[in-house]
This record gives sequence, C-alpha cells and structure tokens, in this order.
Amino acid sequence: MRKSYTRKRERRKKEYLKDRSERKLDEKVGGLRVYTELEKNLQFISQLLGDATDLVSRRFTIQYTPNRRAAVVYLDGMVEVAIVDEFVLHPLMTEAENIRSKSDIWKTVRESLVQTGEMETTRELKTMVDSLLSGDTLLFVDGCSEGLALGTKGWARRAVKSPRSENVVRGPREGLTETLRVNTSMIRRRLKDPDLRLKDFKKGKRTKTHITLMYIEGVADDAVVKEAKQRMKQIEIDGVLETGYIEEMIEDNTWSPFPQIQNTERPDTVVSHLLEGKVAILVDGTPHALIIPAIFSQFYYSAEDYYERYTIASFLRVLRLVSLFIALLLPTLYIAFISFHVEMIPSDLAITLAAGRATVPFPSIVEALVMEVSVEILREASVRLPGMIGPTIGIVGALVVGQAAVEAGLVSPLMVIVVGLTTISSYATPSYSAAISIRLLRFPFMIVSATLGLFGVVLALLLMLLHLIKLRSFGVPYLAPFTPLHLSDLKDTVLRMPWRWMKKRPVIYRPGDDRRQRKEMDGT
Amino acid sequence: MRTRDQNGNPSEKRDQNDQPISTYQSHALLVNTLIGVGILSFQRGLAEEVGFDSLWVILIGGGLVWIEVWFLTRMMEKFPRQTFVEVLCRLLGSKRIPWLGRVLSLPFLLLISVYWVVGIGSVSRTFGENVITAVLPRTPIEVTMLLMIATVAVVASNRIQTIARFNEFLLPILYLPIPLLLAALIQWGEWENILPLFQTGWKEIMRGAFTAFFSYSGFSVLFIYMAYYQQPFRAIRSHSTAIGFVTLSYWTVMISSLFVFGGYELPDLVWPTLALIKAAEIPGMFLERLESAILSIWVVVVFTTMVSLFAAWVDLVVSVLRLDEHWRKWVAWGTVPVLYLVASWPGNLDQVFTLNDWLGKFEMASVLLILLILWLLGWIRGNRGRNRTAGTKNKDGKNGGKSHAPTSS
Repeated sequence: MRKSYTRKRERRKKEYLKDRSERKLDEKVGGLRVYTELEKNLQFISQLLGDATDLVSRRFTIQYTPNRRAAVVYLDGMVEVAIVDEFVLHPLMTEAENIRSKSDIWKTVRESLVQTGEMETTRELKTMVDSLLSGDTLLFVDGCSEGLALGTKGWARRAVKSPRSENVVRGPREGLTETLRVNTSMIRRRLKDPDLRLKDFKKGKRTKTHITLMYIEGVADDAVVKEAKQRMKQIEIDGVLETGYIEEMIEDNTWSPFPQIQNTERPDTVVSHLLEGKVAILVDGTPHALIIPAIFSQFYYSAEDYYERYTIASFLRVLRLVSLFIALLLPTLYIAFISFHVEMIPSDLAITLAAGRATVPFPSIVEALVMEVSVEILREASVRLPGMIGPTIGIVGALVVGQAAVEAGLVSPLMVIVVGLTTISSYATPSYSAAISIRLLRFPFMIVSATLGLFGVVLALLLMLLHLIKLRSFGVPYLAPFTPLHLSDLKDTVLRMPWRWMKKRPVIYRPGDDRRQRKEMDGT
Repeated sequence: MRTRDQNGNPSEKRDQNDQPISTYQSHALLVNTLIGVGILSFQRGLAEEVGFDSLWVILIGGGLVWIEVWFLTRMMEKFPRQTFVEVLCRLLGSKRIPWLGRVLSLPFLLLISVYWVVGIGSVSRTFGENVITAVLPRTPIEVTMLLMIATVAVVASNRIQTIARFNEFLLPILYLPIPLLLAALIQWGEWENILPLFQTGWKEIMRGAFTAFFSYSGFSVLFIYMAYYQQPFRAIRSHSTAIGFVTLSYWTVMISSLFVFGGYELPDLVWPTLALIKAAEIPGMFLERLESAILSIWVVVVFTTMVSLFAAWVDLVVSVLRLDEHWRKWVAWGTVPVLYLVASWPGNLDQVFTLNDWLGKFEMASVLLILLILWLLGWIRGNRGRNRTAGTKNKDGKNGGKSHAPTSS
C-alpha cells in the first residue's frame, strides 16, 4: 500500500510536469494574437487549414467614411448560411450609419450591428480557429486587434426519431439524436428543475468532442459526481466518436464481461435515472447517453416498467429474469443432462430423446457448440444486412437450416428447440450490452458443463457470483440491493411495486434528497 | 493495508470494499458456516448412539452449541474490531518484549488452525465421496476434491467483508430443498416409525449430543469474523437466530428421516438425507430424479462452509505474520496442497466419519479452552487492556453499542 501510494504520487508528479510542458508548447503555437491587418488574419487561417475548400472568406466593406474593410470566415456546411446572410452580413453592409465615430466602429459592430445571440470577443487566434472548426462564424474588421466568434452553428441534423434499440409499446417515442444540444434540450424539457447541472468537457485532442455531464444537484451523490468528473478529466485520447470510448475509459473493471455503465437512447430513461440520483454523460455525435452508476438488475428494467401498471410490469420483470437464466444456462443444462445426469430426465422423454439423438454422430457438446455458433453467425449476419433482408435471413437460417439439419441427422430436434429458446430469451433482455455479455458467458459454461456436469456448473456459477460481488460501479456494489441487502430498495427489483409504496429514492445510490413523495400525499 | 490500525481501531482510510459486516450478514455467515456437509449424514451417527431419541437429542446438541456461541460472542464483544489473534497477542505480550505475545499465543492459534485446516480437508473429502457415489461415479475423487478446494481458495483469498456478502447472497438457496423434505415426509412418513421414545440413558444422550457437534461445527470462525462486525454488540441476537435456524432445519431433517425410515433403518443408510430426497415424488415434476439437482444445491451449502473456515484460516495467518492484503491470495494457494493431503488422508469413508466425529468434539473443546484463557487473562491483566483501547471493559463497550443502535435501526 505504502509503495503503491508513493508510486501514485510519482506518476501524478510526472503527469503534472508533462502537462506543464504541453502548456508551454500551446503558448508558443497558440499565443498568436489577432492581427490588426485583416488580410494577415485571413491568410493565417487559410494557411492553417491548408487552403481547405470548404472555407469561405467573404470580404466586404462597412459603409462608413472612411470605408472600413471587414470579412466573415466560416466553414461551408457547418453554419446556418441564412443566419450569416441576414443577421451578420446584411446589417453590417446596410446599417453602418449608426456608427458615430471612427473609434466607435468596433464597439458598434459588436453591440448593435451583429444580431446573433451567441457571440464571443477574443484576441487569441487559436480560440478563434477552434470556434471556426466547431461551426462558428468569425468576423474580423481591419484595424481592430480583436475578432468576433458568432454562434451560427447549423448543419444537417437527423430528425428526432423513435429509438432503434429500446422500443416500448407505451411511452414517449422520442429518441436522442446525434446533436448534443438537441439532446440536452430534450432532457431539459422533461426536467424543468433549476438544480439540473450541466458540466462540459472537451475530449479528444483532434476531434475536440463536446461532452456534457448532467446531474441534479442535491439529488445525485456528490461523491459520485466528483468521481465522475475526476475520471473524465483523466481521459487522454485523440478522438471520441461514441460514448463507448468514454465508457471503457471510466468504468471500474475493464476486464469484466458485465457492463458497469448503462447506455440508453431514450431521453425519458435518462431523466428517470437522473431523478434516482445518477449522473448522465452525453457525447456529441452519438444518440447514446451513459448513465452512472449502474447495478446488475437495472439492465433488466425497461422504461416501460414504470409506464405500465405495476402488476404487468412485475410480471414482465419476472419473465425477463427467467429468460436471463434460460439464455445463460439452457444449453449448459442440456449438455449436463445428456452427458452426465440422464437419470434426471423423465423416462418417456428420455426414450424420445435417445431416438432423436440416435443418428447424431457427435457428443452433445459438439452438437450444442455447432448450433450455438451458427445461430450467433446468423444473428450477426442479420444485424449487418440491410433493411428488409435481415429478418428473412433469420427465418431462412433458423427454420430451413435447422429443419434440414435435423432431417439430415446432424442435430437432435431437442437441440434445435434449446437453441431457439436460448436465442429468443436473450432478445428479451432490454439492454443490448447486458444481453451480449450473457451470450458471451454461455460458451465457457457449456464447456464446463461438458467436462464436469452440474457440479462444475455450480462451481463456475459461484465464481461468477464472486466476481459480481466484488464488482462496483462508481462505488455502488453491482449486486445491490441484494447484497449488501437493502430491504427498502427491493421494492423496485424483481417486482415493481406501486409508485405509492416507493416514497423514497433508492438508498444504494446515496441520494442527497431521499424523498420522492411528500408525506402529505399519503391519502391521495 | 490492514483495515484496522495497530490499536485495533477502524482505520480512517477504509474504501468501500470494507463496509463492515452487517447484522443480517453475520446471521447468514453463521448459518452458512454451520450447515455444511453434516446435513447429509448426521442422522446416521445420531441414530447409532440414541436410536429413536435422536428426535430430541439433536435439539440438545443445538442448545449446547448455542451456550458456547453465547460465551464466545460475549467474550469477543469486549474486543470490538479485533480478532482473537490480536487480543491474544496483546494479552500474552509485554511492552518490553514485543514478540513475546505472538510466540506465547502460537499454541492456541495452532489449536484452532488445526481444526480449520483439518475441517476443510474432511469436509471436502466427505462431499467428494458423496459426489462420486451419487452423481459422478466415473470421475476420480481426487479431481472433485481438488476442484472444490481450488475454487474455495479463489473465493477465500478475498477480504472477509466480501465473503460475508457472498454468504448473504447465497443464504436463500438453503431454503430451496425444504419443500422436497416436506413432500417426502407427507408421502412416506409413518407415526409408528418414531416410537418408542425415551429409551436411552443419560450417558448415551450426552454421547449423542457430542456426536451432533460435528453437524454444528464451524462456529469458531466467529473468533475472526466478529472483528469485522459493524455492531458487535448486537451480534448476540443474530447469532442466536442463526443457531436457532440451524437447529430448526436439522430438526426438520431429523424428523422427516425418522418418520420415513424409522430408528432401526436409519443407522444403515450412508447418506440418509439423500435417500430421503430420492423418496420424494412431486407430481408434475419435469425432472425425474432429483439427486443431481439437490446435490448441486448442496455444493453451494458445503462450499460456503469451506469458504468460511478457509477465509478464517487465511485471515489468521495474515494477521499473525502481519502480511499485506495481497498476501491473502498466496496464503490461500499455499494451503491448497496441505488441504488436499489432509483430504486424502483417511483410508475409507468410515475413517472420514470417525474423523468428523472427532473434529466436532475437538472444536468444542478448543473453543472452550481459548475462551477460558481469554477470560483468565482478561481478568488478570484487565487494567492494562482497559488502558490500551477504549471499550475493552464490558460496560463501556455495551453502552457505546447501545447508543449507536437507534441511529441504525
């Protein structure tokens, strides 16, 4: 401990020194001030971007005696051209008579001529270039040592559509989009709380991706927020294209097959988690938001559980739990029963089974592995195939190939049923990332079962349990509230109890304000 | 780094993996430790000694164990956040010669560690024998034993708090076979089978109770685990409920097997509980014979017992040698060959059962001895102990515990 502590300190010191040297480098390159000569600025920018073809520099004259040269610079396609034309160029070119004196030019331009909401004055060329690259329009006026970055961001956006990966029958149909601002607006619209906090990060040395951390102050656990910010700060990468990058870099255990951070495409899910005292991370350019911390059971909750009546929701949750076990263990049990514990199969069934397996030339493990792998291939293929062909391939693969394989005597009919059930069950998991880890774990379990029977399967399950118990997501035990046991939180686990019973937020997330409902509302 | 500092106070920098053991966890820990391999065959030994009277002698055994656990709990309460290793070292040591305490306490530590190590070995052997007779007849017993021991080592090399949570999660699995036992009782039970009662003399009854000790054995791990309790002063309740629960479940098993097999047939069955489950028939079951299913539940039950003993042993070694936390892994793996040797030491199943019998009595005696020593030393050196740590004196500690109680309940 002592040793690792000093090692940590040394590492931190080194990082600090490195940071400092980088800062110095930044100063050398980026310390450039805006030139007073207009042409020099324009030349610098076009040189920096390597004469990029989408760079538009529009030079014009501000009509004031003596005439003053000026220019706007923007990247074509990144800005709303209509705004630039109407609210930047038009007033500058036609309403210059408001300028009273020569020394007043810059001030009037800034204060009354340019009519965009977002505006930044700066002397640093580097900041200006950064703004240009993220879709702002730059305004330079000859003879001024400052420049303006005008918020005119606007590019082709995907419309808000229903989420592809998390469908519900009842509930909002909106899904997050690729534009961060649209996403935050969707969340704000659902959560009109002044305590909603947004903290921005720019990650990716080259992509300079905009990342926003959202939480409700006073509801979210301060320790989790602090830890999340800390881990976000430590990310050091050249590009962030999806939340997956962030997820992998901030999760507790990278080697675990289980997801420790949830991702969702639904703004309503994000809000419901924010209300439980969690933190959401939104990344520009992807419709998936991250939610931390995450516990094991939440990957088996669907947004709909809270929209449907609680009886139905509870029933569905039990169904999903059953399907989890089927998806993980059914082929394993099949192998164990066939090769070790034949006595457990009822005699009538055993005879049919034996008849079905009589022509199969392989041991059950080979049979199961071949079938499972081919189903996985089919699945992968149907995901990649365009639109209408996907389901067709699934049907062709599952039905036709399966039937033919049985008739050819390559696999037993029961095996086809087992594989079919397993596949369908793993689709019942609402979260794709959780389903995928179960799919992965199925294979080691099958191998253990083929070598050691149920005895080995139980030992393997115990080891998996140990791993789950040790796993934590931002300080919250992964198997909470089952262990450590929190009786009050069990209301929203296997069963979803009525809202009236859940007056408090789940304590496992240690929320600041723990009441969801006021006591006075008891009678209603 | 240890979770406790040298004075036995909880260290300030405890990370969240060190959440102390809660009351429910301590209950689960004790239940899972006590119910182990004994439940598969305790009826036979008991029926050999006292015949039909095993129906209530098993309760006497539970009562005796409860008394001992009560003393143990009361004793360890006086030393919150300290294992008996630290307590013994401090009470036997002197300020001038720091190593004296450790050397002097070695014989006592050895006594209890012999029980733990031999206990794990014999449990794994007993269960291995069971597995090869019931479900995996063609697998060599060495393989099953080694696998079991190795898997247990993986789990036992974790912190005690993790092991407590492991037990907490697995406790409900114990309840699963109960409906089957009841089904067997209802289907095959005969009133005549349990009579005549009260036929044995006091001597046999005491001997029977002592035989029952093995099925209740394992409570000595409290010497270690109580140091990690959140509220050692409330432990007496969770321990009592645990012993009560264990006694009740043994009694249920005993009654069912007596009702079904009777006092004459019982001594002839090698695995009476398994025979009982075999007899149960539940209409509409889609599994024909349940031994394999039941045995896989019992893997869990036996596993938790072994983990408890093993983790206690690892913690003992780590604290005697004052090793770092990451040494737990190496201590655990280093013990695996020893355990394997111990497990393969008895020549046949009969010797295994004799060893088990002896182990139960041995634990009872050695725990009594250590308690006596602790009590004597505490009495002689009472003043010193009080000066060293707050809460050593019973009264102070008790008040401290009670003042905490309302906030947590």
